[in-house]
Amino acid sequence: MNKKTISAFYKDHFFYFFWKTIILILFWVLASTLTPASAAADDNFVNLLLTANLNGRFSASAANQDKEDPMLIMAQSLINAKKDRPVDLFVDLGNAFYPGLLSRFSYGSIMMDFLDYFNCAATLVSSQDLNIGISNLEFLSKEKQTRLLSANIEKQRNPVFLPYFIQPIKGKNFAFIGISSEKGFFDIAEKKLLKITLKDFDTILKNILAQLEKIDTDYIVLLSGRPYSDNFAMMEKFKEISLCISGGDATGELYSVKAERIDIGEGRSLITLTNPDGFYSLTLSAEESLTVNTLKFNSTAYLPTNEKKYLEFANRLSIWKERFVQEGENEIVKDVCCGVVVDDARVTALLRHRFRAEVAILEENSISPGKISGRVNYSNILRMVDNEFPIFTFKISGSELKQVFQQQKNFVFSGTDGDTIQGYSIENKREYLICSPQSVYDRLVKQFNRDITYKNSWRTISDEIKEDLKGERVMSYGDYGYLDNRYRMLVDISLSNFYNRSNVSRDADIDTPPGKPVETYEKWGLDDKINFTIYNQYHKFVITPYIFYIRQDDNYFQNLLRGTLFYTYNLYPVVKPYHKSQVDTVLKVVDGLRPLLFRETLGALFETEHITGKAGIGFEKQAHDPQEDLFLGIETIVAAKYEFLDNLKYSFDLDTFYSNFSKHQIRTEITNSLSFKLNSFMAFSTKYKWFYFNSLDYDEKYKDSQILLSLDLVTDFKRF
Amino acid sequence: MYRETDMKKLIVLPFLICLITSCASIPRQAPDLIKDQFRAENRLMKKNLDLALRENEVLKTENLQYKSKVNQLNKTVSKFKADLESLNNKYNEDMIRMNEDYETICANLTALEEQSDAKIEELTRLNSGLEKKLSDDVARLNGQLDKQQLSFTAERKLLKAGYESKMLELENQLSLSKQESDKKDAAIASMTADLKEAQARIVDMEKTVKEQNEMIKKGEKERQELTQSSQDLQKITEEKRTMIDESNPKTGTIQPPAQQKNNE
Repeated sequence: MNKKTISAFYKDHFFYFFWKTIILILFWVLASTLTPASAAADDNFVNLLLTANLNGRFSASAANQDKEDPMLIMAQSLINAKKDRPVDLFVDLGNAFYPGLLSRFSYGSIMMDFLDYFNCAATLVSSQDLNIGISNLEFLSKEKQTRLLSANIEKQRNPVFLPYFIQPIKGKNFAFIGISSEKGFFDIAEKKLLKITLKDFDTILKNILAQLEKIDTDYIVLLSGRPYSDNFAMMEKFKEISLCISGGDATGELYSVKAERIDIGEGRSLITLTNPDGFYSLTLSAEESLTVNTLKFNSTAYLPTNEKKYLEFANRLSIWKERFVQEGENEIVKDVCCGVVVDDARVTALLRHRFRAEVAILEENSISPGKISGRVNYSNILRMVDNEFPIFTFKISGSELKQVFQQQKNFVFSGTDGDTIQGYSIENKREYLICSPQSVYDRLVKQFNRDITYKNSWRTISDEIKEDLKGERVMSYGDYGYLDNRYRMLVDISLSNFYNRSNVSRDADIDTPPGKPVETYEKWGLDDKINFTIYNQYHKFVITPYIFYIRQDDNYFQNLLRGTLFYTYNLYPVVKPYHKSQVDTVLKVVDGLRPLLFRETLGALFETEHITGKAGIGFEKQAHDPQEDLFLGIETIVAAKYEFLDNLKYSFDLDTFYSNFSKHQIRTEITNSLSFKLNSFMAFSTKYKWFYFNSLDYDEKYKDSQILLSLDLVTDFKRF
Repeated sequence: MYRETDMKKLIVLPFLICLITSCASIPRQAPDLIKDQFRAENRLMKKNLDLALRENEVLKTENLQYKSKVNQLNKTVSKFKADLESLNNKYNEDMIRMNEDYETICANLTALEEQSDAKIEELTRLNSGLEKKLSDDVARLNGQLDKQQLSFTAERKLLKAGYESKMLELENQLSLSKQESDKKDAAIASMTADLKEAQARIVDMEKTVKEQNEMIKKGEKERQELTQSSQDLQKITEEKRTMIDESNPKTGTIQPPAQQKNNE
């Protein structure tokens, strides 16, 4: 470039150089004036990295894991984020350990390594993490840099995990308190042996804040797994808390809308991590108060790194994966000949089959749907089943079962449609045998807020599936109608007895005081009935022995012994054909006579919630003392019951047999009773019985009415 | 009395049945609790054991990897040590050899230094002689140069005067030539005008020639027409003569008109 060209160049770019110089000068002036203030701002600026719901999402294959394993990609992104901008603390908000396949296989060990290797200061113990087991989590946290945080999970009245920790950041002390949600369930074995309980968070927080008052802390940050409503309440009650960060079990829903950040005044905020597919960076200003500057979600991306810790972790991960593949290859079933479809519905039916329960309940997505064929190994089962709680059998009432069906939306049922079980309407007061994993049982206990007696099979869904694949392969049936054909036995006992003895001793000439007995007497009576019901979805047999016997000294006031065999065919829920055989005789032979009266009827049974009616045609025959001719007649039986209160029940029974063929007569018996239940098996009742017999041929009538007050033993049980 | 006892039994019996059946439904709690306790412990231990075993296996594998890596590194270290030893030996040998070489070189250097000192001395002496000779020559040549410069200046002045007179003469000749050239330019201009006029006349004459040619062509055409008409007339004349001859055989021969015409 000669002299002329150079001068032309400068002439052409004069303005560029001019403005550049001006800007540089301005920048220098600004920088020199503002630098002290910016430095001060940097001292108060806190940058947190936050994750939630990592779920141990490791891939199962070690091949190409740097590019394909979501957790390694997460690790790369975290490393990159730390390089981009200095991070003061990395905290996980829970549900890190479950239900990832490899994390489950390693009982959370690999996930704990992940958090430890990548400098996570703490992770909040949340509902899904509890599936790993409290004792295992406790074991994993030993000798690790990452703390497991939960103030309200207690073992024998002492916190299992660290309730809080204090972290100095930029010369200021931050206290982080962990509060777990109530969503999770403790394994029954741990509950029994370790006495694990979830303590009320209110009391716990109060105690911790009192402890923190004595320690030099600048800010208190609450890490919570609870919903917004609870977090609001905590923030409102405990003003010392500067910031609440929730995640894990907290969905961040506020009036059915997801909100990531809510400011509640005085610079205090609630933060919820709603997106599990990445990580959040939260910047805070730690000045007089702790205020939130920004909350930014960062997606993960493949960013190769050669950082030593990353390489070490990736190596350990690949060893775990190799172990998983090796153990996963362990054979469970040599050959499942044909494809067996496995899903929630079929496994629920399988549980009903194996535990002979009337209803089986499973949480939705407990089973990953799929088809099994050929060789089945351990990893197949592990992939398939996402519930490792033991299976319980327990009884709940019909009304409770209806509530469960209506209110629990994420349950899969087998054996009931919410109205009927085995083709019969669910009776509110009757108990039904339920089979479910412990997690479902715990939900029901929470729902009804009462202890439900259970029987623990100590077997898991995986055990049942393995057993089934080795043997019967019930899951391959598809049609489970046969389960409703199983016969069950039901026994209803109703015993009303009374005994009255009066001893009178008197001189020969004394007058009897008003209202007192004249002489010694002994009076006692029985009104006892037991129904033995054997039934399946089509057939029902009820065998009823009945005694009605009242005696005073040598006088018999009632002396009835009745046996009934009642059969119904469950054609429709409302109308059912029936056959009844009834034999009436006396309990005690009177004057050497034992009359015997048979009644055989065929008819239809009409059944609604409160009223049961039977209308049939048949015959009656007195076979003994004296023997009489058979005569045809029409039978009408009506039974109604209504509960005014939980303990107060009214019932009405009408039994009529009317003959207008070879013989003309009518026999009617009406019983009205009002029963007050004292406890589950005792009741006090008052009955009015009215009997009417009219021999129309001779125009002769017999009437009898009685009022009975009695203490009854009423109970029922099932043989399943 | 016997009957009464019977009846009492009858009263007691349903209660007994009820009691037995009720008892049948009550779970046998104590043994179940112990069994449950054992099973709970078993479940817990199994889980803990699984975790411990698996983690142990992984750590064992990792440990083995590290061990093999350490072994590898130890081997490399031993190899490096052996290499280092052999290199040290070689270094020592080389150092001895190089020391010997160094001593030889040093001796050589001393000898060479002595030689060079003598040579330098001699060369210094020669150099001073040469310098003296050079300064003498320079002084002499400078004198000669001054002389030559004076003679060249006088000669140049002379030549300059000769050139100036010759230039004046040549300028005069140039002005004369210019005058002649102007005259010739005027003659060329008049000749150019004549040429233009002659060209115009040539054009006119060409035009006239063209008209004459056309007239000649026209006359030629007329002549051909006349020739044609005379031939036609001759033909008619011969026909008429033939007719006349045929009608008058005795009148002798009459000359054909064509011949007559030619004779005319």
